[in-house]
Amino acid sequence: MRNEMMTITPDSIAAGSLGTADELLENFRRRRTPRRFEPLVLSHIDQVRRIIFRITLCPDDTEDLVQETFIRAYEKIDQFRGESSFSTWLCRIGVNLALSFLKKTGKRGTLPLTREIADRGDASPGHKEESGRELERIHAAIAQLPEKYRAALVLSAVEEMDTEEIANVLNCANATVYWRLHRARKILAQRLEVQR
Amino acid sequence: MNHPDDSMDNNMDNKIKDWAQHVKPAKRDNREAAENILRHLRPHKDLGEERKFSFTFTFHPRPVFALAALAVVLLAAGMFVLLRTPAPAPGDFLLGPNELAEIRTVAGELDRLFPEGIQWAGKRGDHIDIRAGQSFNVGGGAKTGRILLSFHLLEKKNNRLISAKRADIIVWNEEPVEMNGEMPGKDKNVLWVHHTGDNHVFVSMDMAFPFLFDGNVGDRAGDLRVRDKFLLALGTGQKIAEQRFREKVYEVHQSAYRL
Repeated sequence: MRNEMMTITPDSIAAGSLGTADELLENFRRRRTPRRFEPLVLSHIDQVRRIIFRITLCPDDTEDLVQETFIRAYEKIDQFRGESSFSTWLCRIGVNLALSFLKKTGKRGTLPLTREIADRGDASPGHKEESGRELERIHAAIAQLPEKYRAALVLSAVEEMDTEEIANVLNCANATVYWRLHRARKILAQRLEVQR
Repeated sequence: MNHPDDSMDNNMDNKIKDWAQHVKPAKRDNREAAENILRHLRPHKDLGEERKFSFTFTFHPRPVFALAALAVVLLAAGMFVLLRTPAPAPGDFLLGPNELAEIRTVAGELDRLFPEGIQWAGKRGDHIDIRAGQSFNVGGGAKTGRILLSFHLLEKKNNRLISAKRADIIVWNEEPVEMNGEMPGKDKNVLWVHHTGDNHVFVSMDMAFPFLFDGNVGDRAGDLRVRDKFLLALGTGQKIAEQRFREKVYEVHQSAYRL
């Protein structure tokens, strides 16, 4: 059995020195203490945060939702039956919380695209300005997408999940995922075309 | 060959990836974030599979046997109580205390609610004489024969009459019928049926009316099984009297058959 008091750092997680995700999960399930849950938090928190942030586009609320995601996962670990990966299951909790949050609060993509974000350091000043404007247009178009479409798009294009995994996270059929992605891309294409 | 839509999708995905590169959550200290999360967590009550394993040893055989023994004792006690309970006599009308109480209420209220329809004869000491109304139609031959009295209590529920209880007893004209009742201070309760003419049947009792329903005529009726006889009466007997008492919640049908 692994020593519970061993030092855990994000680097050691990334380097796999604490074991695979399955081993971490198994270790936690053998004895469900917060300390044994910590490696699972550290190994998944970046992904959960990225997804929640890009779905809600609300920087102020993202961390709370991330926290809530892991608390729920800890409490509901009995409901995880291993039908999908732990990561997928965790993302599902996070996405559900994010979508519920948007529905409840009525917030929609409140994140402003600051100059800092849009500023691209790898181009000439003229090109930089033009690509910055392009980025603002894309950001505005994505922010206006319906949340479920944006969630599918983020999981597919950014997290590079396959259709089945997205269906698992969004708890819907594969065909629904196809349809949402198709609609999301179409709406984006139309909006970007109109804005040009 | 790629579908034109595929290249459009790839192009769009690249734009989204480009966007994602620039729209990132703020840098956080994951260790601190994890600590914040852990602060909200408490160890699970069952403490996971390792502890579950040890729990199996905490169930010593002794408590299990004790539980089994307790179950056996309870079962034996239940059987004993059941066997000690006397079987109902053929003429017993199995009314529970609640039903009796309800019927008492009905009987008490009948006079007040429907005086003209019921025509009580009045009380004489401990006796209550019940005089049937004009609806009684007594046929010939009942004067010396046995009479089956049938009481049918119907309860009104949702504007419908639902049978709540049926009690049948067999009586002889002018002969007392001893009833097993619950009247305090009385050893026995007696009921008489008086056939005084073609149009009237009196039922008199030295008990409160409701006890009629609690009567046991098994001894008096010999080997007659009241329920069977009642069915026989329906088939061969002639209805000689009928009366209905209505109340808001209950309706009592009282019939007399010549056997």
